[in-house]
Amino acid sequence: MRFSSFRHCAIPIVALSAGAWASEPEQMGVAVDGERLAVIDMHLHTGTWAGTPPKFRKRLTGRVPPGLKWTMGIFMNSILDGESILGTLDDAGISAGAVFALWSPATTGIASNDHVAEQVAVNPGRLFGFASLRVDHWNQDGPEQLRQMEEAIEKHAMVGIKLAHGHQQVRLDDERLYGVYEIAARQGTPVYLHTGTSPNPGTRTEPAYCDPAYLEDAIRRYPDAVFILGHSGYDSFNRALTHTDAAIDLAARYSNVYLEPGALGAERAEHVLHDYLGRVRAGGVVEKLLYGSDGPQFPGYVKSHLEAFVAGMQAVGYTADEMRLILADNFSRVFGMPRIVLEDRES
Amino acid sequence: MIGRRHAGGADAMIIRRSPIRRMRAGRPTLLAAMLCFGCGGEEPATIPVDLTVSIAAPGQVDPAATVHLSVRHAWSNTGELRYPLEIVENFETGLGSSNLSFDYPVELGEGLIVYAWIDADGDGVNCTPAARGDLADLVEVAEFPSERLSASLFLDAPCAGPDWFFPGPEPERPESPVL
Repeated sequence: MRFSSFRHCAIPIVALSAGAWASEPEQMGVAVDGERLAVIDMHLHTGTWAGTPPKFRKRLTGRVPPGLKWTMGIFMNSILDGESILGTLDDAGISAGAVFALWSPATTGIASNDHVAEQVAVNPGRLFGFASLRVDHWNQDGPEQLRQMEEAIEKHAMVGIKLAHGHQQVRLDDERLYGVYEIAARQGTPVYLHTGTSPNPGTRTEPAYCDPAYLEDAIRRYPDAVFILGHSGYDSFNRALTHTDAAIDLAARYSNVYLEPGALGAERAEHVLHDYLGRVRAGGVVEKLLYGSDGPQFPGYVKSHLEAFVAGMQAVGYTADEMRLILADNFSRVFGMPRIVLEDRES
Repeated sequence: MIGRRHAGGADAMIIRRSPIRRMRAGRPTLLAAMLCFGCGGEEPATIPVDLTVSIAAPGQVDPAATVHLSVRHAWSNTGELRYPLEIVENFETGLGSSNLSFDYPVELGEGLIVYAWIDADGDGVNCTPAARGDLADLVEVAEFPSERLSASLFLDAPCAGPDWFFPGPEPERPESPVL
């Protein structure tokens, strides 16, 4: 029965896939003032259907017709693998991207460090892995989790650490996790921390789990650890810049704090994007902002997020030099990587 | 501060797109075709629970302060996706004895946890970076499942979420807060 249904879908799949090819940009990068700027998307997700909790599965399939719900697992496994992520980057003209591990069984699910390493291995010159760790049995296995994460970073040459306190149900000011920052400082591995809220079911929305101000003690105690405040404190649940000023304030006052704008280029946030970009500029933290989208999410999201974000920067009056920093060079500098130079199409 | 793990000698690098375009890259478009219409969900099976909870706090805490209490599953899901402390229901109450009633969704988890914190400074949040005097406690109700239960909490852990306590052992607590 299932096989029959799948064959029935084959023709639309081919037609729709061909349509996606047609939207491929001519060149890598984005055009700004007559030149092309390279782009690194530092916030991408992988994962599997098996690692997706029932509540999140329900949300993902909520609008899928009952007869097609069974296809969601197959679809998700393929859209989030390394080859597909590379295809998504190609479609958007993005040179490279960072892929995050997840340990959030109460909310968005699990993407293990080994799984991320497998996807990044598809093209380690363009995909960079971020490790994570499980925190919901911390009183029992915290030291072991730290050891495993550090081992994974070394073994797989991962470049960063991903935490999402609101998804992982742990307070931003919880000193039990300071061992993560100690490793980050010792290894020179930047830590990306989800800040702000999320519309995903089960995510904690209280200030202690969302407001980056709760991180200040850790930021002060670990000056050699790089803290990247994911989403810049964007309150996605309420679609407001509730915690953004706190994030900008930390980035302005501490040399080891940076910002990432994931989901602020989404249609859901279009009413706050210009305000956000204005605050970043006014706060003097353009050199602290590392572009990311929070993709792939859904078809065309990574590309549309980038287009909206670049259009927003142009509307607010960012210069090409400022955009170059945000879209790629800040990432290269913070992660100690060479700058990306776009290849001339003729060559 | 600059990340050091990948600091290398090169000043710049050229990145090329994937040499072969894959059909897989177009798969995301399928999702848009699938997101057409929704379907209804079923209400989970529940059992009614009456819980008598006795809540105390150190003497310096305002006895009229609001206590934010939640009842939770001890564990939900299975295998690698098994996790603790899924919320069943939230309540606002006070110090002393309270009677709470709720429906426990039996298929969504197992065990019963009662967690509470007292808003000692009345600002509506469980501690801020500067105000660290709100206090919490958690208890696992050993008698569960049962329709009539009781639990006692002594709120004395500053700025603690439920994961601070469970699964145990509870870590050594920070120094007593200044209220």
